[in-house]
Amino acid sequence: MEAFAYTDINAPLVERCRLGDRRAQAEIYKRYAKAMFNAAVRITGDYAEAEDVLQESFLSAFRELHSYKGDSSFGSWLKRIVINKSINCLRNRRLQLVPLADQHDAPGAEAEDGEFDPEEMSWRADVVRRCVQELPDGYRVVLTLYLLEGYDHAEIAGILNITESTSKSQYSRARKKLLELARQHGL
Amino acid sequence: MKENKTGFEDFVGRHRADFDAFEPRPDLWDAIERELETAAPVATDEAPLRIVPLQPIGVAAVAPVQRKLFAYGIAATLALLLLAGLGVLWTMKSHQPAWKQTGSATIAVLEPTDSSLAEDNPFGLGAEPVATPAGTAPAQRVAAAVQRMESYYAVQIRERQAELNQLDAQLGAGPTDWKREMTALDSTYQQLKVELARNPAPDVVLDAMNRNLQIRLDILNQQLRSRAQVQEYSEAVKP
Repeated sequence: MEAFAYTDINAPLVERCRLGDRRAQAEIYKRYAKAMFNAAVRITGDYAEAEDVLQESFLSAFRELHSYKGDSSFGSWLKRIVINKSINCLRNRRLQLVPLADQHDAPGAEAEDGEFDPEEMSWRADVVRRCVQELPDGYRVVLTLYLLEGYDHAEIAGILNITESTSKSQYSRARKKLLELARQHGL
Repeated sequence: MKENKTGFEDFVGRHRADFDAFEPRPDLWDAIERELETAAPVATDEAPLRIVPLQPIGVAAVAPVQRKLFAYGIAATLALLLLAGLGVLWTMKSHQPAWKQTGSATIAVLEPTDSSLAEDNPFGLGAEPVATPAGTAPAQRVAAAVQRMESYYAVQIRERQAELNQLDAQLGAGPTDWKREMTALDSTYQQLKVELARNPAPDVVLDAMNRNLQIRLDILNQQLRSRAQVQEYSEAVKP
């Protein structure tokens, strides 16, 4: 493995974490907690559960830091832990027997493309955020992973154990549903 | 249709930060820390050491930026070396030297030979830690940390140094203060590496080594930037 091909600004801090340096661990927590927490909230849909997920994720990360080989940035590695735990939490709570991506759509959710032009809409981030939380689980997870957590459909397929084309179609439907909700909220 | 998709995605991209609206409860870190403590009490807390530069930074403020960086770099690494030495006395007095507590043998580091300090091998990477048969996990962790740290910096420092050497050759090499400073920092680094083997608070020494490497990188970056600025200026004033 060659030396880092990118500059991971937290690399020296992570090295100190490996040695159990508490101050370094606290600093890493400070830098990543907010982003990770919001990812967990978006996926689990529950504030308290997201806190549990966050706690368990950081504990896992620090305890298993030896398995982090530096072939991705530390942030991506940590986020993957958070995402996995969030999805497990969601699955356990909802007692899903059907994979998240295979949820049936509610009637009327199939809007046509170009039914309304988003260019004309004046977006508000806080409203869009609330609409994301209102989406059904399967839609919310795929949309969050793609639009907000920056994964591509191939990666989402791996995370959710679905096919890439399923991820794409789920995203497309989630997006339509979201725009519909946003319109209902007056955007 | 494609435009519709882009409009919404663009909006989200531009306002990405607004989507991270929540924060966990303030004492969540304390809960995490408690869990980490119960699993493995951390020895580093027993020897908190302050990092104090040997000379006040204000003195360097009137000097050119270069000198400030150099002076602080050497001073900081020597200060940490001194304090690491004090740390030895402190932990010996407290009868709780973390190093001995685990029952591990200290690692021995071979003295770097001249050949190992070649320009293409700035850290004397030939000086592999030689673990004794009784060496346990902490010693190995430290050695692994050193290796990771060095490989992280080695490529970047090597590249920038090569670039600078090339530029200096093209421009008709002027005084090379930076080369002297790199050599001085390197020799300090080697001292730290030897110290690492016998210091009961290795993370302090590791911290100093880390700063040393970072300072070297900063110096090289700064040198490259100032040459680029000179270049830009001379091109701007060309008739």
